[in-house]
Amino acid sequence: MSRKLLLVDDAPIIRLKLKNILQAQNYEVVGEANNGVEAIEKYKELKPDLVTMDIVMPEKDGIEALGDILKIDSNAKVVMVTAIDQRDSLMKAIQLGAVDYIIKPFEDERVIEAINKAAG
Amino acid sequence: MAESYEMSDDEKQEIIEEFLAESDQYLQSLNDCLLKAEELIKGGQTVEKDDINLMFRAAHTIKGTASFIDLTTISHLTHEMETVLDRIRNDQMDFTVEAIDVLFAAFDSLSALLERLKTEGDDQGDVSESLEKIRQILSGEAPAAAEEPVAAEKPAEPAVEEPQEVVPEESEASSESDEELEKYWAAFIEDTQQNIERFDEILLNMEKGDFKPDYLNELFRISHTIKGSSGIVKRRDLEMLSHKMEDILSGMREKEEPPAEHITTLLFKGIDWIKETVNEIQSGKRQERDPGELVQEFEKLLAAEAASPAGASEVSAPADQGQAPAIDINALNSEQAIKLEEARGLKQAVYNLTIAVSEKCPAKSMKAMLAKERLSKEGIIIAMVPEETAIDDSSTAKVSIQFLYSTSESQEGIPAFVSIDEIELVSLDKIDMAEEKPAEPAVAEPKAAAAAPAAAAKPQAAQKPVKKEAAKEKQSKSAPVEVTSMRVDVRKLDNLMNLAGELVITRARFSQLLLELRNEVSSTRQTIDKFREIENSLMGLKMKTAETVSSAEANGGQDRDELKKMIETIGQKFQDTSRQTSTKLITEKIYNMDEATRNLEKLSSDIQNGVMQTRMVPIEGVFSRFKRLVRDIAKEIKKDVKLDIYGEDTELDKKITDELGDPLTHMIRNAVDHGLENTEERKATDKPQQGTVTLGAMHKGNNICIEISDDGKGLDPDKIANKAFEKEIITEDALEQMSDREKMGLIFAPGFSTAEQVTGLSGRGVGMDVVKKMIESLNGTVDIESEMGQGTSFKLKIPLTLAIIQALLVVIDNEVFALPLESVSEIVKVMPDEVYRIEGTATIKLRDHTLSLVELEKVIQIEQKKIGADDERRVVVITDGENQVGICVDELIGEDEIVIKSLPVHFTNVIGISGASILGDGRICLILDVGAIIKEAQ
Repeated sequence: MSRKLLLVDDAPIIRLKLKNILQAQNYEVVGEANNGVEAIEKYKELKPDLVTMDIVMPEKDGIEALGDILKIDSNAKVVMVTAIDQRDSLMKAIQLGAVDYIIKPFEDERVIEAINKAAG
Repeated sequence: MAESYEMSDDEKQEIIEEFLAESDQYLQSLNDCLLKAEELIKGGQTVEKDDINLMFRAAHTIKGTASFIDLTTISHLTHEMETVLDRIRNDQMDFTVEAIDVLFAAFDSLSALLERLKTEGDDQGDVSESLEKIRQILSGEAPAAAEEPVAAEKPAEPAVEEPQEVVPEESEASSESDEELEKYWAAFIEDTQQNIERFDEILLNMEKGDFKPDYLNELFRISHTIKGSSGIVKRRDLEMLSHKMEDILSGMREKEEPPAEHITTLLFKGIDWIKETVNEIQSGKRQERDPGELVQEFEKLLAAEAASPAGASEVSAPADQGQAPAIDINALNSEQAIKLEEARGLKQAVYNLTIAVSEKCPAKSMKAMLAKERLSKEGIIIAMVPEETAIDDSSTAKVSIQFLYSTSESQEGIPAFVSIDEIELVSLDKIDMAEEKPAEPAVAEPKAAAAAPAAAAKPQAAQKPVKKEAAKEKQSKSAPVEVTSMRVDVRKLDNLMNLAGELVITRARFSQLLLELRNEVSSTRQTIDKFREIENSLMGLKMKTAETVSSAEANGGQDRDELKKMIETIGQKFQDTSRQTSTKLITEKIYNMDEATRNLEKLSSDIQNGVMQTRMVPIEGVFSRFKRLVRDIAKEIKKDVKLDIYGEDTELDKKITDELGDPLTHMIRNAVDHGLENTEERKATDKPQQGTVTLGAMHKGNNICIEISDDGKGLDPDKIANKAFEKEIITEDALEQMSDREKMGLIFAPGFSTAEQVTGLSGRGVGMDVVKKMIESLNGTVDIESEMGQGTSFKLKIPLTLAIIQALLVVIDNEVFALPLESVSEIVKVMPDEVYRIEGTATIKLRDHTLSLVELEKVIQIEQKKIGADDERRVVVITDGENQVGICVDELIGEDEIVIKSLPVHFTNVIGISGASILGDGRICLILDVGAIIKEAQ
């Protein structure tokens, strides 16, 4: 059974890229969100198995969204997708309970590995 | 704390050498794959995924190691190669002839860099041209030198391999990936243009004095997004600039005040540049632009801003990468000891867990932290070495982290906790606490007990594993492609070879001594027999004396007793001596020694073979370079040529392979350049348009035979003869007596070259004469076979090794001489009346032709018994491949393997002798130079 993914990023191109990579790996992208607020709504609605989460986003950033999602579901698997210079935020995300992270710009291989491992 | 581990110069040198050896192999496979791919692409076929992956891995591995030892140029170049190959393997880019050319160019630059590294010890070569080509191909432009003709020529030739099936599939795949790429571009342009608009708007608002703190945040976010998107479409220029803008904005947004005017101006400049670039992209111009100046301006600004530090404090940590000092459970600090007790209290198992963060990972400390967080969620981390804060993120080495970890989860469940991208589980071992306990003395006072050894034991404990881990690191590095060889200085091997030779000689000496000893024993036996006789007669004497004495008893006892005593003493002494000289013991010893000598013989020849084997390398190393050579020459002179190679596994002495490169290069050049007709000429005949050059090798006895042949026009003996005559290499008279074969041999004459037009390739002043000399210096021979219109074949015969030869040992004038066995064709018996003279030369009739006998005293200073003496003589017939002569010998000793010792410098000019060897009896034996003797005889 293919696993359901929710992609959260304010850049459509990144979502597109992630989608292409992961769909080829038999993941089902059930939803996409532009910002943290949408992310939480979609998470409640779609109950995805895994979320990829950008950090720097309008409305509500990825850290807050991560926190909220974990409040809703403490077993939520959220993989952060961020640039390397977001160290401090990333650290916060890790402490909050992100299962892994992917550094932008990424190689396909990194995405596949990270998501596969996170999905278990 | 963590130990710092710095590489010494020696270590670095060692790593560089290892790297070079490793890279050689990767270069080889890169070269092979590229050539194979080129052929397939030209033939309209798809390149195998495995090959692309292999190339990718080769580039990737070289990159990895290069960056590990700070070879930035190499790592940069290979990184770019890797990018190209990665795109190809992910179908994001078509594998075209252009791509092959770009990769070849990069390959050449890489080889040059590695060569430089070998000779100069650094990699400071100029690779800008290759990088530019890669950049062009990555950005979708056609590189400057496109290869239309070749690509266009091929499809015209109806391919035999069902083109319908293969070609459409590929074109479909490529159009799909183009489409996909187009999608990215479209998304990128749309996305970025919107962001630019918003950025502009905000800047304008701020300039008007309308400032909201959130603006800076938004600007920051926008530049961040542009940076990210640019990364996806691999636009480094945009990525770089937006990154700088982001940096500036990142610092400012904390201040929550409108930016200074000069900053706004620069941001305007930046976003304008991005706007222009994106517009260019939209209009189809995908070439990267150089944002250098602008980037510098941003950097200046950043430096100025940095004067008021607001940035995050960087964790300064000792560079302790790649190796994790082992955690000693008996040397924990107090905090760790408490945690251990806690785990014990919970009756949880304790594990020694080692993970490694991959070398490519950009934020290793972050991964380490992630692992730590995830582990601590499920259990207790008793100790972690190194702590994530001690990990240097700028390092490009793999980082091992060791945990002492306790959890209620079963051992099987633990790997899932560290199932994290770029983290690999190295080892997970359960610690037997029962066993560990006695080692911890004071359980009642765990703090003090554990803390004290911690201070003392830790540095020591840390030291050893560092090395161990480093070694492990090396191993894991070479693991992906099995590198089971190591580099050894040739001089060491030479020395070993020499010693093995000495051993063989010493062994022979032993056999000789043993033989002598045996003779000695048998003569001793005779002596003993003589002793026995004396003893017997003494016994007789004793008895006689006793009789005589007893009859004369009355004369008084004293004399009698004395005499008796004397005789007995003598008898005893004889007995003792004969017992002592008993041969039984010696015979036994000799028997043992014989056995030992035989073992020694076997061992020494095994050792010699073994050492020989170490010097043996497949000829592949020499051959493989010709694939590229043929490709390049063919391209330059616009011929369609394929190189067939066989027998590349054939092994021969490394020294010889080294020497073979040059002559073979020349011969192959000749074959492609002169041997093969040009395309028109080939079309005119019935030959396939593509010319074939064959390069092959095989073993024949103790020789390797190398064939270089072409299916070209063949050698024209008369044309060669005329040329030789014109060049005054040979007289007309001599020409008339020559066979076609001999005429062809004229191409080896000094100063001969058949090239009518001197191309850039052949006719470089190195003629076939030099080639022949080079081959002869290896004790080899060259043979030509050629048929007009069918092609030419050069056959080289070269001994496998220069160190040992099979030889026929003969005695001439009481001296032992060795004749290389491969030049001995037969041995015949000759009666004096069978020898007759033609033009003053002694000649015999050998079957249906005549054979001249060499008078060796004319060649070397020895006195040979004149032919015509009464007794039957033995004649050894020797040959250099073309001519045969006979040598009269006084005695034949037999065949043997001899170790060649080169002659001292002042003897090297002695004609007729090519070297010397030492025989088992310690005598020197000279090796006859067959080639020179035959030449002298003529």
